[in-house]
Amino acid sequence: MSACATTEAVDGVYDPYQPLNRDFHEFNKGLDTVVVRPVSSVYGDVTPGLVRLLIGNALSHLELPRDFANNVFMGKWEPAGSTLARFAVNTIVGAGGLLDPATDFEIEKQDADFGMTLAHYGAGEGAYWELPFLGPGTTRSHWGRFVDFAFAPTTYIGAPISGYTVLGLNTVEFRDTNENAVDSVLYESADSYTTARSLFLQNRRAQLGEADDGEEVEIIAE
Amino acid sequence: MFLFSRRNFLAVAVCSCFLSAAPQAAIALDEAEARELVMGVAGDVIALVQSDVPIESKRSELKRLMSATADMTAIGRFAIGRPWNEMSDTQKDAYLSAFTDYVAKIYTSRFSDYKGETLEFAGSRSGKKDLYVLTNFARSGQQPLEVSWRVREIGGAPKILDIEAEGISLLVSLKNEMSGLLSQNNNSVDKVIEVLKTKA
Repeated sequence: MSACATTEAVDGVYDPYQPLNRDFHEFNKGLDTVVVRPVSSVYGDVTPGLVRLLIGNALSHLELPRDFANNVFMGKWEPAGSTLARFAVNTIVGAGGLLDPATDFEIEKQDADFGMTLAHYGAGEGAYWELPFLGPGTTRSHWGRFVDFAFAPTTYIGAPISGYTVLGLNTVEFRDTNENAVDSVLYESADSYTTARSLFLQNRRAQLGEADDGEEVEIIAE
Repeated sequence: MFLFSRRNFLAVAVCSCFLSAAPQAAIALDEAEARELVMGVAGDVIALVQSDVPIESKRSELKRLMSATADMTAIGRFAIGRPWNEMSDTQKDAYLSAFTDYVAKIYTSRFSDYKGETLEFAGSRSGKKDLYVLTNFARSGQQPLEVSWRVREIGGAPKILDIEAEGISLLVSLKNEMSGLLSQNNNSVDKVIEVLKTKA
């Protein structure tokens, strides 16, 4: 990581605000215990599978403007084109995005966000931040999320599909789908802060092609 | 929830899924052998996830599978890092035992979200010392997840050293976690062992 080459801490993590981050982590954990976890659990119990499938499709559909814009920003024309095709197919044949015929036609989703665009144009990763409500991220990825949110069409449409509704649904949908895994990371880990940070950074760096040579780490075995 | 994108957790869960397998005979490590080990592990863990036994039994079964098919000593040693060289044999034993229990516990939970999904062989590639067996984890409504298994011949038998999916390596995750624990506990290995014991 060029961004943290000079101030690199343990294991390639630049985490200068760790004490603050740990406080925010405890806040987020509390929020999960008191609100997110119980709400998601009820949501999971009362929502029929079919409805959840439709909601999942719709949430994915609503990300397409973001994917399209950022693929264009990065000059990735082919993914941008297929995002456009996906949007058209699922809007027209897929009942406005509730269904996902595009995947059957092998028009896959091409994730792109503004954090990736920033990375594409050379912006460094910055520091690791776990922010209240928003969770793990880096200076760059949090700014990216902010920009994506600010420009999302849903942010400017009123209820029932406002930006916050989408955020909330994404949260409970994710939390319930990964109920045991999230429980394990937050409540079973010996150090849930470090675990969350490790998982976030590894995944994000791999997504951006910025991972260290993780697979060829030297392992000593007798 | 707010912490991660959906994909992160799939990776976590899949990493957690496959740290185990049937014991294998000992001959030179070739692709077929590594593949058999990995596919065996996959089958056993999928069966374990779907079984209707109490969580404690799942943990002990996962621990048994891990110990049989992964080199928990090498993994534990890598995870704790530099302090290993200064640890006494008693400390090493205590640490490895607590570490293995802890890993079995957290990964039993992490893989329990993933039921009824299937795994298929997707090729392999060679590293410097190790063979990487690639598998595709089919998921309904999504693209298959590619999971890479790092296998090395140790003591005459192939052993799993790492599992990686969506950029998340089990080994790196555990190393990050152990160094976090160390720095939270004034670099005291004994304290880390204590914490692992209470968490396991």
